[in-house]
Amino acid sequence: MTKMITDIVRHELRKYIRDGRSRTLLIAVLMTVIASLVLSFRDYQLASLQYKQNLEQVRVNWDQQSEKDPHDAAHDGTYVIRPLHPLAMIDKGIQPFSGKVVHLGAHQRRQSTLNEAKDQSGVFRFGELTPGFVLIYVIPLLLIFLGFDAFTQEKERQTLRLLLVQGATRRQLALGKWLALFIQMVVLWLLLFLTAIIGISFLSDALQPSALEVFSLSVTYLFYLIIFVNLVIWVSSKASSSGVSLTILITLWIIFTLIVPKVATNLAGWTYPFPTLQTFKDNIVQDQAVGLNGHNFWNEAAQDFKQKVLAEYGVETIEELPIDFGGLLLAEGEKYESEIFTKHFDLLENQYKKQRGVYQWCSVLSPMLPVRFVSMGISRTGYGFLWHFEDEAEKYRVEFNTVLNLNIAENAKGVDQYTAGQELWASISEFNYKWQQDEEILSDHIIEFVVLGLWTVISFFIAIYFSQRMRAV
Amino acid sequence: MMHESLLPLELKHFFRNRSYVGLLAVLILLMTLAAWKSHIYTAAKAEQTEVQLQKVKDNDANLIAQIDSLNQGLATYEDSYTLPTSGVRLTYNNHRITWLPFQPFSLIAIGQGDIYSNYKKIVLYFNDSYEMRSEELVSPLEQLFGQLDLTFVWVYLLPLIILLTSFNVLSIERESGRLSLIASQPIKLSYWVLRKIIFQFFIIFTILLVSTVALLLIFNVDLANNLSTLGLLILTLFLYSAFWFLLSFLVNLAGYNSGRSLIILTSIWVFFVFLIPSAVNLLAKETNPIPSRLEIVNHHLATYNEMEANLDVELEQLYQRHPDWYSEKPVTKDMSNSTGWNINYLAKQYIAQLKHRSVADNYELQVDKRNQWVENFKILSPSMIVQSALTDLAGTSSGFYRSYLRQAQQYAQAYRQYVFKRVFTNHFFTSDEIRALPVFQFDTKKVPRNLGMDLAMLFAYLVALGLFCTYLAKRELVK
Repeated sequence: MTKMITDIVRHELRKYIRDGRSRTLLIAVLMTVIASLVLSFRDYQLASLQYKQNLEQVRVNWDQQSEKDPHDAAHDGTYVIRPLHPLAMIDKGIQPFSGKVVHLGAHQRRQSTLNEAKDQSGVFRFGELTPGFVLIYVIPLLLIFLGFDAFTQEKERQTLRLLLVQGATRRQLALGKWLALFIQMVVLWLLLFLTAIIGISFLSDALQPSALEVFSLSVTYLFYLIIFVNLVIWVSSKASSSGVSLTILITLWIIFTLIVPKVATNLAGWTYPFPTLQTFKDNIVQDQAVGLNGHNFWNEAAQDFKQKVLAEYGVETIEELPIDFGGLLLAEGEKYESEIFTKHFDLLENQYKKQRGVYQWCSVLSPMLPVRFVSMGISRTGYGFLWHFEDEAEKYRVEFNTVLNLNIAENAKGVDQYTAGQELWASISEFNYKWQQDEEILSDHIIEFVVLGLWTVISFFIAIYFSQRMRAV
Repeated sequence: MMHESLLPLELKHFFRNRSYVGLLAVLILLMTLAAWKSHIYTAAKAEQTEVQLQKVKDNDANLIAQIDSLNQGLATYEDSYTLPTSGVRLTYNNHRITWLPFQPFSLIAIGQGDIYSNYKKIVLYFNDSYEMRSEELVSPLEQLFGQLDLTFVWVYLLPLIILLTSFNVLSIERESGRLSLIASQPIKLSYWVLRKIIFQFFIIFTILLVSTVALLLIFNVDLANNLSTLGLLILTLFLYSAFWFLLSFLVNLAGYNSGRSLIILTSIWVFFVFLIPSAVNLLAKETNPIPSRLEIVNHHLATYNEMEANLDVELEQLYQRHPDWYSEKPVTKDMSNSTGWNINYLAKQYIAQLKHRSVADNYELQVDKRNQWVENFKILSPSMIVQSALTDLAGTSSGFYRSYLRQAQQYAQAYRQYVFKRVFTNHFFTSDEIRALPVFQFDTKKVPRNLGMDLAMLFAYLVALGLFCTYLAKRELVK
């Protein structure tokens, strides 16, 4: 049985190599793969260089501020820059659409800003030629073009009956043809990932992706491509002619890669819409109005805080305090305001999680969705990463503001127009973002892995099952 | 005469084919969903803008009423943050707004509308020179996968439906053994294929046209007053559909089998719709590298530091440039007072912005240059041309939004000039002055339009394809 399958695979591969159509297609896709790798590699190199240079410059700008009230410095603020993971070279995910930096100032949590898409023309919406793009759109189409007539051609030429008479079973034929298509796909897949990984390893100063990251990302795409191999074999075994087979497969490709993702997006936005920016801000302002605000000495919350501080120091009036009450109020106000921001940003994140649930449901209709989410997750280019980065930036913002405000509390007592200088600016530690652990990322995508696994297994069994029942003519 | 008698036959033949009918049903369904979605989307954005506009109006009305009360001695105010005639109050409470009005055909393309907001607040105290900024809360996932709008259906899916219904006009006859019968008729085979393709074009385009007009009417697009825009839309769709039909005719003429014909046509589709645009995007970055916006941010921060280090000199220069902004009043120089602090703060922001301006403007110029480079290369793909034409018609192209943001920046500059000479001299605003504050008006004429060129390029594609088809037909390459 094994020999028969091997013979079929050998025969099929020989047929592909001899066929001018397959050769042309394979060469065209190979060139696309190479172009995507080269262009993405250069793009990544440039982006990481810019990241490094700007990161240093942001710090220099912070350190070189002139003498000023530390709270004025907090208002002027500084920036933290979204780091770049090397696997972003494979899948840029939402990065072009999300901001690159977060401004950290006083009293306000801000979203990332400076997004690349705003500097692009409308053509940008067609997508970028990245390895991820080739894996998701181009290689599946190649598999369709290579294998749509795997069985229909045998039927049209009446050779299927001949093969069956010679002792080959339908299952052996199906497995043989499946393997022949699979081998071609694996060659391209391996080439793409090996070249990308070798390329990244040459970037000596770049963070190197872990073996687990590379393995899980590449296997995810492998499963995705296997699904297309399965579908091609299945449809080809069922279709009455090559034309019909190709039409059905192209329609499926359109549904999976173009229609379902868009419909899912619209459905997610419709069922769990984000509030407008104004509503979002109004809700925050409403919550903040009843609490501490560093600049408001007179509201109830500030009076309560004053009493608490006076009691703590065992004095009757602010003047008797050994420290500057204004600085303390600013520091405490910042903490309170940050809690309000966290509450509202968490509500927003929760809305995104609900939207993601819609995408997960829609994954049943297209294997592209789970693959895209896993790929963005591992490449740290998804929405989950952005939330994590912004949450960490917010923690840093509070620490940063606390240092500045407590400096006022400690030093401004009795000083007319207190100012601080470069010693204070330099004492504030840099923002040190820690990537989410691989295990955390992978466990966050369990549902996507399960759906992808089901797609792979079920489509394989369907392909083999229907091939066994195919008619010889 | 012969054509007239054949039309019912072709219609019957077309509509008997269940897959053709299915594809057309999918096209109409997706167009309906897309139009509905765009309608909701546009209405929501228009409402957001309206709410903001109303807030500014209400806020101004409130300020005017308070100034009047103050003048009549009916109210008193303790500090300049609340004093209605104060520049501090105007700085922090009464912002201006700029907005991009929706164009009559905005329904056809969400375009860049999910990336940009249609309004932008102009605040005196905030520096916005390094980003033509307009923010809204949008999930970046929505932007990544894109919105389902009519432009998506027309640019991506319409060609596929055309190709799937016409790729095998000739090959199916050969594969079913009817070709010899057709060849025995007193008609050239290429002419016969052309006639079939024209009939299919007529059917599909008519359905497309009727559904488009119906959807525009259903979703309240004012067609009566925008007949020229409707004409341009129909012309764009006509040229684009004709291009794909002609391409299909060409491949049919080449005489390949059904599978091969479809592979060739789908590959061309992938080439035009995916590969060329995505390669052009990356090549644009390669050939027109622009610094990261982060550099612009950093430049602004560095400029700000430099300016603060020499603040006295910088302020002197500012007042030399704007002598009417200078005041001897002590309150304008008293930093412990909110008026003095505010003047100092606004002056610092203004000086830094002024010094930083050339770098920021140069950056925007480089962005425009790169976008223009991409524009020039859209000739490589009819899909890029049509997307550009449709977003142009809808008023949701990058050109529209960038022009709007540039106009908003110009307005912000004019507004600052108007207000600063009063704020800096601690002038007390009157209700008439609040009423006379400059109001933003978007000028559509300032938007760079490429529609004529887009249509000319599409037409050129058609002519080139037509000539090639004629050549093939004359050579009777059909075997």
